[in-house]
Amino acid sequence: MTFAKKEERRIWYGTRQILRCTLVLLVMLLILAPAAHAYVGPGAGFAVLTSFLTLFLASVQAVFAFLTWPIRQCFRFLRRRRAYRKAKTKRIVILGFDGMDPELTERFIKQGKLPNLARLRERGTFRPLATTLPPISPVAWSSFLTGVNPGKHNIYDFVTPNRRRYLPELSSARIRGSKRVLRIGRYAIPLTRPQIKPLRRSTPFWHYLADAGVLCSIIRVPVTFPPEKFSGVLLSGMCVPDIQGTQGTFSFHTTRTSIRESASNRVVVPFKKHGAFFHSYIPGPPDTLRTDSTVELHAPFRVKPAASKRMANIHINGQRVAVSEGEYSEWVELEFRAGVGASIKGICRFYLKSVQPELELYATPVNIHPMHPALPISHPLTYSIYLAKLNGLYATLGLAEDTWALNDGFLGEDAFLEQCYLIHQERERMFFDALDKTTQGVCVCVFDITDRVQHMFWRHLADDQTSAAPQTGNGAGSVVEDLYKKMDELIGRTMEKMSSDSLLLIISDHGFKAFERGVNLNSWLHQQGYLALREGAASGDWFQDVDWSRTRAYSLGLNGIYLNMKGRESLGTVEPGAEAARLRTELCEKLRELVDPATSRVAIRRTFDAMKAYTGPYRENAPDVIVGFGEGYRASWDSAQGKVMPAVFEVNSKAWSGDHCIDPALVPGVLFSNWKITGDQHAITDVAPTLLNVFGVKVPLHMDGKPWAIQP
Amino acid sequence: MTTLLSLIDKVFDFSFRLMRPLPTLAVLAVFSVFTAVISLLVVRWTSDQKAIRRVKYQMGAHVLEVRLFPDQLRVVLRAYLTLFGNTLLYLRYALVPLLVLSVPLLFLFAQLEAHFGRAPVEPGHDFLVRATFQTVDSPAGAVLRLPPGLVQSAPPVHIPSEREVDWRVKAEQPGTYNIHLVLQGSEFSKRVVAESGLARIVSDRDRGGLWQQIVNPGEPPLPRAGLVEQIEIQYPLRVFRFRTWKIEWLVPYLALTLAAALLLKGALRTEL
Repeated sequence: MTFAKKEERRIWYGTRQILRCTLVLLVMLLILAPAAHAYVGPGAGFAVLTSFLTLFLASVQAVFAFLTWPIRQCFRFLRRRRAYRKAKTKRIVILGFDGMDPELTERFIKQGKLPNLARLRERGTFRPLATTLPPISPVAWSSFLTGVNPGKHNIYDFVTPNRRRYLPELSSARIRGSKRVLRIGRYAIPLTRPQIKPLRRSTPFWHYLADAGVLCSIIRVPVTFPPEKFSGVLLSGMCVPDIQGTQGTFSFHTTRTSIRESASNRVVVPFKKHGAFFHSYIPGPPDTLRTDSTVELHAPFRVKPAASKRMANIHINGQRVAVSEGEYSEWVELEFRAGVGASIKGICRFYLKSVQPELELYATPVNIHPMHPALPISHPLTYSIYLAKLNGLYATLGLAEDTWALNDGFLGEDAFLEQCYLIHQERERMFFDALDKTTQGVCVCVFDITDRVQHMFWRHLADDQTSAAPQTGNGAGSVVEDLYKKMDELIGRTMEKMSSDSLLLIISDHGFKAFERGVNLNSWLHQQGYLALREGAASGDWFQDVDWSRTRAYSLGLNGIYLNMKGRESLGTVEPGAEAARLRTELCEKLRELVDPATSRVAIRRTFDAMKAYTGPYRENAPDVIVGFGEGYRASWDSAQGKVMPAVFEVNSKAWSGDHCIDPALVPGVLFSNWKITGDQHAITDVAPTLLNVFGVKVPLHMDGKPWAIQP
Repeated sequence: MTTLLSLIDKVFDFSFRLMRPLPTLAVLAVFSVFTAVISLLVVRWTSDQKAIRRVKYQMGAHVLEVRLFPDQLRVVLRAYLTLFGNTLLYLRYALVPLLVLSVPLLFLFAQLEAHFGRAPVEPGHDFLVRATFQTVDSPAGAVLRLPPGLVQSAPPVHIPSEREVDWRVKAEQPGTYNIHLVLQGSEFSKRVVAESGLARIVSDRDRGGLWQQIVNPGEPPLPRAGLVEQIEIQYPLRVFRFRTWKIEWLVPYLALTLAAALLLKGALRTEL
């Protein structure tokens, strides 16, 4: 039995004992209560009774803890001493800034705008940190936490193709309904829990550390959903779905009749007017308690606008939420009532876009309620509840910042930025609480705001005027600079809370470059004869009208080309083995140094054969060819969604103007430390073995990363 | 005040008359639910609900903190300390509704005690009528006049040290009677209940002030200038039987009130 399991069993046993004792005491109190001869009871306040109960339970626990404290403390002291005996430090803090760019950081440091990072560079270490192939957040962070190449952790993109249906699936987790269902009439009552299977392989470094007795607090590290059991605390990050099971579907409610649409990431719901109120609903998950699971649950609400005050009152779920124009509401608790009295709880924020002439209301994707999680989002389960009780409700969705709402014009830049900072403030509160609790051990927190804001505001950077995307918003030019300054302040505050002998690492998973032009890999494959459409058909999303019997390769996601392989794809045409190898080589050679005729720039710098680029048992699941785009280029939006367009190259006119899904050599991340790290090559895969090494824990042989030479 | 008390008596008498067909426990349950609803509404209207919710969440968080970070001694000790502070804060927030509630619940409780606290005397069984007088000499010549249906089963006992005379009486038939204590030309009455079912059963009639009127509702106080201080009927306690347990009304009432409050707090949107 592992230490984690023993610890868990011990905690459960203790809790059970306390509950049992409390129950016995309560029953005894009830039975043995003497006759009351004075007027006490409800008259003396049953409100006091509730508080008494709380006090009583707390006291019971306190007494229990007090009595057993010496024994537990002795045991823990011995364990801790053993855990930290070989450690170079007792505390490591890792701040992860998704997408923090080394060139930009360097520039701002030179301009004197980032004093804390400048101090770290001067006294400790600043290096570019080699990212993964491809340089995409779920891939890079998976390598960060496991210390292995993607061939061993099995994450190659946000999505992976379903080889039978040629449709995308989430690469990090698979969520299925309950295995056993009791059908009664139109109801289907699940008898077991939904199946949530993690698809990321290999073991995170915190499992090794926890087994050695080192406390680990892990906050919002990507690809940690579903949370895995270990002896520490963890809040899942990127890849946590919303209540609908998607990666973020917002809703937009309007009195305008011209907008009526529904896409994978948004639902537009028109208001219906009844008297002074405008009625609408928040779309929820499918009602899985019905045999017809296509029925979608709704959370209805009504809005009473007050045009003169430029605000509106939203009546939802028994609450009245007042929102002013151009402002976000607090988190609003929603309840989606399913059949047979069951309900699913979620939270969302409203943003009142306008009251007049049209009433327009944006609602964020419905996040999983952290206090009543429909799916597990933390380990232990109580950790998400603890954080919500301590600091208030918070965004739980993996990609919480709604980039699509800005991209599609449903939110303005200011509104998007405000949303990002609201989420960031929540994250900061969580991080500083974890830092406070982790007096010894490892505290890791990943901040996503750096990635999202750079994606959406890169076009405003002073030296990047080439983007075709619209430049709107007031003072948007300094948004990225302000962002870096705020992160620097955060680093400063973190350093203030750390002793000099603690190790601080600041890392990012990749850098950033402009995304000016898109390359439609599917169009290129079509033009080159590798991908065929049905006669006379135009292509749609997700390979609609692709003739698979004549298709040899297709592209899905941001960097990958897949062979239509026999025995793997349901309608495969390419023989595995020599033919597949030949085709991979052919594609690599043809795509390498592909030039954009409109700009005469190299759109694709390098290509990679997966069989040569990766090692490990999951290499077979990788895209067969990985494309390393040149600076300014990326897979086009249509290409990522499996759509064939007439042209291979297209201008990126969306607000999403910065990206990193290119040649990994162009977008390394950053590595800062308050300790000196020597050596030339530093990669994100080295972080996990380095941490194990610092704590004197043996580095597993399967890890690809190498521990850094590091000293205070 | 006497008018108010009289009005309250009438309201409760009417309520109990309405519920006469119900079993005693069911009537108690009705009052429990009523108490819960009133209490929830008062708590909702008179307390800072947001503050209560906040402090409750904080308390919950610190309880969880102890479980989540058991190895961190500093964290655990601080959590206990904060938990204690939050409990005091919670009590502070609960103080205003508690004070507001104490007034109506005092009247309610007195009425419930009058109806559920004591059982009627059983026909065919003896019970004591005890009169306490102002001075040791006062009882001289005191006569207990009994209506038909009640008989004195033993001579009266005079206990001078207690200024008290006790009569042993027996009800021959079920019914509600008025007994009269005659002393020096003055007459003091006391009601005796000897029939089954829920009825107002007040054991003491005192010459006390307002407080006595509140806690012993149903009968007017004895005259302040009179020689008799108190007339008491020794009713047996009313008990509720649950298998082999015998419990007084307070226990099921409290339990039912708490259960009802917990069940209804969501519907009434009250944070407790």
